[in-house]
Amino acid sequence: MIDLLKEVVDRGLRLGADYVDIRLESYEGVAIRIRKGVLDAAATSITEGVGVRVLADGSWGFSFTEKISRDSLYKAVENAVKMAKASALAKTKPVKLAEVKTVRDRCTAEVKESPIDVPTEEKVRLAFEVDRFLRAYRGIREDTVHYGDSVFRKIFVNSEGSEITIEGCRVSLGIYAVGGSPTSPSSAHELIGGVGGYELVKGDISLKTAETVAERVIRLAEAGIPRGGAYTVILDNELLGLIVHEAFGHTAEADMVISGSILTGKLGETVASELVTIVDDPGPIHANGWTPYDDEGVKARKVVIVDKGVLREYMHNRETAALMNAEPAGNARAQSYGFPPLIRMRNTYMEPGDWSPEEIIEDTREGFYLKGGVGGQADSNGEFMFSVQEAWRIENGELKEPYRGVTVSGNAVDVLKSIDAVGRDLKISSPGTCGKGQLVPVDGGGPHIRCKLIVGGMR
Amino acid sequence: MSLSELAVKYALRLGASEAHSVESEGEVIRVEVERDTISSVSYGRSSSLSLAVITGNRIGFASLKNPTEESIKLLAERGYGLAKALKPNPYWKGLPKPKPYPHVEGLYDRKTSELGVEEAVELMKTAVSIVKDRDSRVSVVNGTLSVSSSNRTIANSEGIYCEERFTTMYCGLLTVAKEGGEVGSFAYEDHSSRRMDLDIENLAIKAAEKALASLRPKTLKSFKGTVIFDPDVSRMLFSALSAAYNGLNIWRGISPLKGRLGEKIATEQLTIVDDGVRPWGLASSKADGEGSPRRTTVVIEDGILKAFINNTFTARLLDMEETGNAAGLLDVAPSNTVVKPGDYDVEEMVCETDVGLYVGRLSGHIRFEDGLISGTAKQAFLIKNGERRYPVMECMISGNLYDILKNITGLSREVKVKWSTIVPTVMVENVSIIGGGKP
Repeated sequence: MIDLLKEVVDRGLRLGADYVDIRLESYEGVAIRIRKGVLDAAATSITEGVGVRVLADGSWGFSFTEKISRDSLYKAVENAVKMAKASALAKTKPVKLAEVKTVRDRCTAEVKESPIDVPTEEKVRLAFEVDRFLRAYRGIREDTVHYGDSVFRKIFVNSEGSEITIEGCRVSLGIYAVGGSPTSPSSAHELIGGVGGYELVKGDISLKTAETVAERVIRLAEAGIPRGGAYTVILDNELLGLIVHEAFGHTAEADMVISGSILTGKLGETVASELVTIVDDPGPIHANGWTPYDDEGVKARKVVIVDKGVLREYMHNRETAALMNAEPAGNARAQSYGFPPLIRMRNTYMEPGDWSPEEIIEDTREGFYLKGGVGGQADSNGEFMFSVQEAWRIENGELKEPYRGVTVSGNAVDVLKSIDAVGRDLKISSPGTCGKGQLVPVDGGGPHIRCKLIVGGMR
Repeated sequence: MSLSELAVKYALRLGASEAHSVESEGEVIRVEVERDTISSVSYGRSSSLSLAVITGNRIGFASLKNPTEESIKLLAERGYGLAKALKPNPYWKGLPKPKPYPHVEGLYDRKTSELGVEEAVELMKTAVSIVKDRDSRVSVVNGTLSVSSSNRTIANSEGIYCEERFTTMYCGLLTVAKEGGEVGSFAYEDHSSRRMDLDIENLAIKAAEKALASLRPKTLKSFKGTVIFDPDVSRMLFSALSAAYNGLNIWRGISPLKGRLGEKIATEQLTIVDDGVRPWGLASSKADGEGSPRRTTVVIEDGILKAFINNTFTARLLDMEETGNAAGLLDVAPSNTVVKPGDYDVEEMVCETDVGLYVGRLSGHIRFEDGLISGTAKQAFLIKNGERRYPVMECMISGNLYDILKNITGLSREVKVKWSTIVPTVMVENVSIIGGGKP
C-alpha cells in the first residue's frame, strides 16, 4: 500500500505541487448502548479513506476520497492540486514550511487485549453489569451505559521521503445516571478509557466508576445551590485540566496567537504564579491524545508552554513554526482523513507541586472544593465559564456540606496567577475530546490546586 | 435495484426478521480562512451504507464506506452476526410501514450543486476584505464556506423506499477585535441555506461590527432585570426545550414535561412548530431517518404544550402519534424548530427596558433535565433607560429555562434562520445577572 501512496505523491509533484502529503486511515469499531435497562442496539463500523494535501503556487489544497484504488487516488491528488491553484488566486503570502527531519518509522500503541479478540457477548456483559450495578441504587431513576472501541491504522507518506505507520486502539466506557425527583433531577457522568485495549475498562474499574457516578447523583439530589461570588477554591485534577486546556491552552496555539489571543507577544513574560508549569505532552502512553507523530509527520515532543510561571513556547504546525521562527513539536492534527490538520493540543496538564490534596484543604480557612467539569466554554481573551459536577464548602480546613449547580468563571491568566498551592497528585483524566471545527482526542489534567475565581450558583 | 434495497435483501436472506438500510453519497467543497487569509481549499467525495439487521428483537447495526454489491454482502453478515450476539430489546415493536410522502419544496438547488471552487474562494476572499476594510482592528480568526450536495436512499423490509437529494451551503466567520494590548471577545456570524442565497457583504459587515462592539467592556454588579436574547441565544433556549418535548426523553422519564400535555408551560405569546416540510428548511426532507414521512407538528400553541415529537419506536411505547422525527430507528430529533414571531422591533424592546442586558451570544449550556442555564453573556450590552450603554464582561446569566418560558414578554417580528432553528429575538423579565464583583 505504501508504494501506491508514494506513486500518488509523485503524481502530485508532476502536476506542479511543491509538497505533497497523503494519509491513509482506517478505523474498525463496535459501539454498545444500554438505556432504560435494555441493550437498545449495538453497531459495528468500518471506515477507511485517504486525505491528500498539496502545496502548489504557495497555497494549500486538500482532497479526500473513500474509494481506495489507483484511479481514485490519482483523481484525489489532481483535485488537491486544482484546489491549491484556486486558493493561490486569493493568496498574498506564499506558505513556507519549517524544516523537519525525514522519518521512516512504525509505532504501535500499547494494547494488551485487543477489542477485536474480545467477543461481543463479553462487551455486552460488561455494559449490563455496570447498568445493573447502577440500577441497584434506589436513588437512580435512569442511566445510559455506552461502550465503544476503535482499532485504527494511519499511514503517512510525504514528498520529503517520510513514511510513518501508526497503529493502535481506543476504548471507552461512558456512564451517565439521573436521580433526584422528576422536578428537581440530579445527574452525573464519568468516562474511562483511552489509548489501549479492553484492559482499560474491564474489571473493577468499571464498577468503581459506576459507584462514583451513583453516589454523586444521590449526594447531589440533596445538595443546595451556593451563593455566587469571588472565592478561594480548590480545584480537583479534572476541573484544573479543563481550565488548563480550554481557557489557557487554546490561547497558546500559534494560529490563535497570530489572530490575537491573550498570550500574543507575551513569550518570556510572567503569565502565571511561579508554582505553575504547564505542558502539552504527546504521551503518556494511555492518554487519549497519544500522538507519536502528528498528521504532518512531525515527531512529537513535549511543549513546555509555561515554565515556573513564565510563558516559554507556543504550539505550532510547520507553517506557523516557519512564520514565527519556532520549532514544530507535533501539534498538527486532523479529525480524520476527511480534513487537513490544524494546530491542536495533545495531553495538556499542569506539572505537580509538593502539597498533598489533604494538606491544601486543611490549610484553607474558607472557600469551596470543586470537583469535575461538565463542560463550558472559553474565549480568546482567556475568559472562561465551566459547570462543575460537585462542590463542597470548606470551613477551617474541613469539607462541609455539598453543593450542586455550581459554575466557575474568570480569566485564565488571572486564575493561574492566583495559584498559591499545587498538589503532588498529578492525574490525567481520560479520555477527552476537543472540538475546534474538527474533533480530536485529547486529555487534560494536573494535580489539585488552590486559586481564586468567581463561583456562580445557578437557579 | 439500489444498494440499500440489496442490503435489505441480503439481510433477510441470512435469516433476519427485519432490515433497514440507508445509503448516502455526496461531495463537498470547503474553503477555510485562518488569520485573514485563505488557509485551505478542499474537495471530497464520500459514500457510505448503514444496515440495521433485526432478528428476534435484537438490533445490530453495521456500516461501511464506499459500498459495493460485494462489500454489502459481507456487511449484512457482520450485522447479522452482531445481532445474534446481542440480547433482545423487549421494547422493540417493529419497523415502520410505508406511508405516502409529502412534496417538499427546496431540498435541492442545481445552481448550488454546481458552484465552482474558484467562485467559492472568491466569496471568502471578499468576506475577509470587507471585514478588514470595515476596520483594521478586526481580524477573521477563522471562517468556513462549505457547499455540499448529497443523495440518500432509505429502504426497509416493510416496503419503505425513499430516494432524495439535497444541497446545503454554510458560511461562518469568527472575528475578534484588538486595540492596544486589549483583545475583545470572539464574535460570530453565519448563514446556512439549501441554496446560494448568501449575502456575503452583509454577513462580513455584521461579523466585523459585532467584534468591534465588544471592545472596552466594563464589569457589572449583580442585578435582576430584563434580558433581550439575540436569536443566537434564543436558539439555544429552544433547542434545549426541544430535548424536553422529545418523545424518547419523555419515555425515559428524564424530561420535566412528562405527563404535562395540555398544560400551560409558557407565555401565551409562544407557539412552536416542528416543521419537517418547511420549504428550503435545512432539516426538511420527504422522509425522516427511519423512512417515515416528515410533517408539521404544533408542539406548543399559545403557551400550551400540545404534542411531543416521536419516531415509530417511541410513538408505540407512548401510545402516541409518530411525527416524522426519527433520527435512525431508536433516536428522536427535532426537524426545523420554528418559533412564531411576535410584533416587536428589536429597538422597541431596548426602548422599553429600564435596566437590562442585551445578550448576543451565550457561552455555556442549558440543561433540559432541570432547565439550569449556566453561561457567560458574550457580545452583551448594558441597557439603561431604554438605551444601549456599553459592552459588559464577566457577566453570568443565572436562570431556569422553564421560568424563562413563562417570563417572556416579547418576541421580535423578524426571525433568523440559525441552521434548523428559525427563531425571533426574545425579551424576558426578571432574569438574574451575576456580575464579576465581590458578593
